[in-house]
Amino acid sequence: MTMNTARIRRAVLPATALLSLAVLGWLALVVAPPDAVQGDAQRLMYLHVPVAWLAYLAYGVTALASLLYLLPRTRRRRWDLLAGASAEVGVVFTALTILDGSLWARPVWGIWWTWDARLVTTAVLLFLYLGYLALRRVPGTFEGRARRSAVVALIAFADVPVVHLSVIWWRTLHQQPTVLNPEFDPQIHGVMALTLLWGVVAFTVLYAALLGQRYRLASAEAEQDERLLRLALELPAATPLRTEPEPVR
Amino acid sequence: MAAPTGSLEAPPPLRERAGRGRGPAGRRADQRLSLLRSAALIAAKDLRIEARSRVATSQVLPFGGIVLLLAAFAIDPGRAALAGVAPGMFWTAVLLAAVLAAGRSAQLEVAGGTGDGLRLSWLDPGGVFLGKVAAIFVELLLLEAALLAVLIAVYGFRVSHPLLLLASAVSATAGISSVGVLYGAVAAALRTRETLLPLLALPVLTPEALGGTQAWTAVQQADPGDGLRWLQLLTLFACVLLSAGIAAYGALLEEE
Amino acid sequence: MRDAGYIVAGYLLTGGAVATYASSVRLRLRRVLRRTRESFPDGGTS
Repeated sequence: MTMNTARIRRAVLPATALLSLAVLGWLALVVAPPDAVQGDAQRLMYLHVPVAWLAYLAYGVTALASLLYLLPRTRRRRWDLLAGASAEVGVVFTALTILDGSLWARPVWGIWWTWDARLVTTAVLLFLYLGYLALRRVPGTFEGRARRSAVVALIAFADVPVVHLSVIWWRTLHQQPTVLNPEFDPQIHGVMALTLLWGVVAFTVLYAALLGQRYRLASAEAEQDERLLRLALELPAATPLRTEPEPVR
Repeated sequence: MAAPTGSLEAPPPLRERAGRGRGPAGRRADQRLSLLRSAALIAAKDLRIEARSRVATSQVLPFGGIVLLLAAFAIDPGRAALAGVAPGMFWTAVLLAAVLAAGRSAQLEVAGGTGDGLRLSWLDPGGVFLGKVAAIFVELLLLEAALLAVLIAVYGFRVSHPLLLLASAVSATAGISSVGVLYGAVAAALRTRETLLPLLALPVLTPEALGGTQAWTAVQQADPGDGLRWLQLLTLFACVLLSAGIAAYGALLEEE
Repeated sequence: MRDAGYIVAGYLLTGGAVATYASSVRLRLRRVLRRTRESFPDGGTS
């Protein structure tokens, strides 16, 4: 009976996410009016803006969890697992941000890509994520991998605003003729603003649902690794294999 | 894997320096050398190894040169565009060469087995980081000087503001060296190091690439204009990276 | 609807990517749980 209630509880978040997204689809494609300038292509903004927000939120979660793991007082394995889970979800959203942005830019400006600060920063963010995930895949001890990944996540997190700033300078300081001054979030009001807000909320619920699932997977994998290690060392189940890492120095 | 107690007092690679009268022989492991002293020891060690093995001069430098050459193939040398793209090509070549140098620098600790020695020694981990950064910094500056000569001769790069040129190169290289040593330590003992290190380091170094290119573009113009702004960015970034490295390097040296 | 192709592509690809990712996570989870059950029939995972 406990298994069933647990299962039901676990299904709440994904179900809510699915429902919210369905409502968003209806709002974005049916209810919201076409934009005066961009036409119907503006509807892609209802996807692009929320996923972009999530790409950055996910990275923030990874960075925070990494910090919590590195600090001796708060060092728990769960923070490393959370950091990894959020990064994987984040990379999906980052890729979608770029994809939806391009699909929007093509009909509106006639180009697939522009050297706008936000776009470039998102591209760099994608590579930062991919590097982080590649690092996590390298085998080793849990603690070693967690420590390495945490350092990399924090450096990358600090890097993002610097990248953004430098690209803004690059695009504005130079006397280059700016063909376009892209505005990814134009001023919108009324139904459109509400739809956009709903989009952000719906995708945030989706992020939470995906993160929860991915964290469960990470937790299960870590536990399996530990059991296999125990088996290999032929330790009885009760033997403490590891304690939470001691504070250093 | 703990080293025998005997080597704790005087690990072999540092013995030469320890013999200089004021050496740390006989100190307990919990009495740490100062940051700068540790840095000086490690920098001297790395540079001495480089002087003997000459990996930077015989491998990294030619690599930088060939990248610069290959990059020029993208542009028709007849056009005046070559001088315009020179700064970007230069910093791309430097970044790629720096990744190689960083991998090599990290490998010095893994191959020589000195990683354990450093962990157990009385050296300040932040100092070890600074020392390795200093050594790579010197190597990269020498590389840049050589590539600059190529740039002037082959790409038609003109230097109107030598101070800006030097200052921006120094800041950019300091940042690049910090990332190189830090991520070198991250990837050092891992099997996929050669492919992992560039993937980790290069995205983080985007501001260096951009800043260096823009600053050196300003160097070619009569009015340096934005060049100083870029120098500020590069300097700020270098300070941030150096501090981050000093703070984080100890965590990376910890035993698995 | 003007530019319908881009809009449809955007919504389908976004939805498809999310669905694919979610299923892949569930699949991997099921695989790990099954393997743990097989290797350690005495204890289950929470």
